[in-house]
Amino acid sequence: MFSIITIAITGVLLLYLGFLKNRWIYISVAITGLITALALSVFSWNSLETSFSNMLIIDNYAIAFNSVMIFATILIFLLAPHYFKGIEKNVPEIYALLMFSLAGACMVTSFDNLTMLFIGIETMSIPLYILAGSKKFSIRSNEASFKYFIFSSLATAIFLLGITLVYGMVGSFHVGDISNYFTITKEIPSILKVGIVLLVISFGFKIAAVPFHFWAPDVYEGSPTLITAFMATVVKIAGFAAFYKLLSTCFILVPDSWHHLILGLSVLSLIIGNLAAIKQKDVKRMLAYSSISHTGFMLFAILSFNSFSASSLLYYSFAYALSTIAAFGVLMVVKNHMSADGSVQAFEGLAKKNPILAIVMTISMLSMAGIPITAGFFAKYYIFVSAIQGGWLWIVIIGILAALVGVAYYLKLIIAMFAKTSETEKIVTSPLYITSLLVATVLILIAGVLPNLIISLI
Amino acid sequence: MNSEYLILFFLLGVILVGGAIVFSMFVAPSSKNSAKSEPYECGIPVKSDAWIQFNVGYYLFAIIYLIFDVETVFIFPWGVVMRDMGLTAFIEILVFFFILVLGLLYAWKKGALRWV
Repeated sequence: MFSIITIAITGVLLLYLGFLKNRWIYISVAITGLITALALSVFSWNSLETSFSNMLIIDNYAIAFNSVMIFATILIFLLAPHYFKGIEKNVPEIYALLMFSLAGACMVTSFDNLTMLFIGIETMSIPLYILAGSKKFSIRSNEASFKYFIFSSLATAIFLLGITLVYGMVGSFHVGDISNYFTITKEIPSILKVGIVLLVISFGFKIAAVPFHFWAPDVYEGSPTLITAFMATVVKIAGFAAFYKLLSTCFILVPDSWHHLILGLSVLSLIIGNLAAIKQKDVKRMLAYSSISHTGFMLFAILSFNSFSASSLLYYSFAYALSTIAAFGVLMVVKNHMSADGSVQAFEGLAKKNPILAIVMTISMLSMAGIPITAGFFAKYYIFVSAIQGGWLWIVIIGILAALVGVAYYLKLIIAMFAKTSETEKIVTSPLYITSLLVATVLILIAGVLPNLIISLI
Repeated sequence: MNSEYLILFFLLGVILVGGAIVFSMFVAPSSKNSAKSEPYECGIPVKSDAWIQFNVGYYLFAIIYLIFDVETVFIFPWGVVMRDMGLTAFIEILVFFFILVLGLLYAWKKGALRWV
């Protein structure tokens, strides 16, 4: 609870520090606040805590996901000063909105009441509508903001209707009461099933699973790259953590009403995400589709509830966040430095221009493709093991085939960086920027060599 | 309630509403003139196109007004239960005011209250 409050207060503080007009003050305050929040979150490990009159329950599950999200935000903030170099206006506001969105994300993972889940999702999403359009004079950014707003509000409306139907039958918003209802009631009314389906659909929008993914590529491409990195990591992880928690605590006893949906979402995300990613010219769009295919993998954890699936989801989130931030970090530099377009051609000869960036990008791509000794390999491995334990062998086979297709477009980028050459012109970055990328890369390798550090947590 | 009824309900909804629209399309006499698009009996007569430019400052003022609006909405229920809840409620509403005032101060400092 205190970590959420710290994040929110840091956000307000940043708004006021913006009047000082010193970019180093607000970045250092932001990072200090985030590190404090991370420490508060980690130190409350094993101390089960309910707060705000049973609206939030902060258990180890919530703490683990919150820590991953706060850590990912720290890495993104380290990238920020270089990204906003030369832009003076409204930078502290952007930092503050990122903070508010993170505070919402931390609420989403630790809800104990469906109204709190709703408030958390809104607190997380509303700053993002503004952030997606924060490149005020770019028409693509405006489009992204508007599209995200429309789709997200539609999802929110569906979500609210779902909550209403569940409340109408159960008579309570509280997670414990809802799961009790299912142990007592034998005959589930069909209106309640409709409510569950609506909740699943709205989460499908939030995590960009396939029939509901149309907004994702456009929004990811149009938003400023730093914001895209935040959306693709923190918001997605929060959505998954909440989705998993909602289904595993409230509706675990009625799997018939949502299992087929998750199955469909997962298979379609794997197939369409990977096939569409191959055809993309723009790297940012390619990463958007690859993030859709990762959604398909992460849904395996929800499909197969057992003692192992929560920790495999956590590990996947961690690996995915690190590789995504590293990839977007490199993309930001290449895009700013070379040309306006972030196509695959822009990456040609990066190994000559800046070997560190090329290595970071290579490791991140290998991790996303799931090649051993990177975290991505064990992420996929554990999530497959959890699915096989749940008895879903055939879907694991589809997953492996999809992962093989995925290797094709990840390697395309690596080949462009190392095999091809273009006019050599050094790319310089700031030390803070390189630190963030190197921390992400080293952690990808450490998590890949010692997966037990994370997998045994929850 | 069985799910068949639900499907029947959806189908019936589509058929009834769609049927009414299609039916009126065929049956109703249609004549187009400019008087038809004007507001009926009440409302301001149509003067020009809706796409006109106006000062964006109106939006800012409306948003800042919202701070006080929300404050009022919460103060009334608070006032009803304040006597029963005692000091806790008083401190909580002070915290709430403090947060709202922070927002207003920020907007003020940013120059949102200056009419340009």
